Amino acid sequence: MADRSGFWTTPPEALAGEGIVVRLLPPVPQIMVSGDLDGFAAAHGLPPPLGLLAATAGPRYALRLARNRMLAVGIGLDPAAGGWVDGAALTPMTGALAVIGITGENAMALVARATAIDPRRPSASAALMFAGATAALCRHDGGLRLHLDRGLVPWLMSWCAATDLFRAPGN
Amino acid sequence: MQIFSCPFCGPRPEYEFHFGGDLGNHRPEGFDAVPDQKWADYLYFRNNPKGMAREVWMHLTCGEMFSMTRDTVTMEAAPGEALAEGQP
Ligand SMILES: [Zn+2]
Repeated sequence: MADRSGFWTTPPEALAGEGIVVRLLPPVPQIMVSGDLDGFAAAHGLPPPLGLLAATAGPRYALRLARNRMLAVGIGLDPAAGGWVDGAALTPMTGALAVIGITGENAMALVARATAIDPRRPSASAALMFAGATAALCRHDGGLRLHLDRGLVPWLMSWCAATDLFRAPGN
Repeated sequence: MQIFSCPFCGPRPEYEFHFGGDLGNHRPEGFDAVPDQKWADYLYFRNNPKGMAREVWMHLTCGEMFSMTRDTVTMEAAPGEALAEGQP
């Protein structure tokens, strides 16, 4: 087959600007849970699922995506073990969802460009439209974590690079 | 930017929502027995009121379908109401 890889540029997996770093993290174990969220959280010792831009830390947390759905983070799932388990539908998401770390004192400046949400107003769901793509956003260890479809990572990196946050002055 | 309010997530920017049609425009039951006019009403005719409209909207990021009362003249939108039974 002809090699067409040269047709397109490869976006970087990390970008740095003044007071901001955006970086694709190594795969983070994730499970999408639909149904009995309380039961799943209790069985796995997970804290209650977080809403939009809520603060968390460490490897294990949960993000509320919808009324009956959350993303359990820090817990892996063998695909063969997925499906309907104890009142919840479990879907392994480690491959499907990339996690992007956004750090630095200007991290929220990127959020201001990517969405029109009010960052001071709590919302029950961590899901939002970020740069036109559906994603989930929380504060994590002093920075931000964006859980995003892995196939959209090159798009997001290109989009970030096009903002003024990552351009040297005069460029 | 107009702000709509999802019954689950609360106030969010309008681009996170998608219009879902007139509230109460149910698909006719009966297949072959449904007269052409009824199918046409369901598929092509809209209430299109001047003033208060009762509509179905979807919050794309959480997937919630809900009803919303919106003034088509002033664009004022009341907070969405859950369609699922027993939900706030
Ligand atoms: Zn919502």
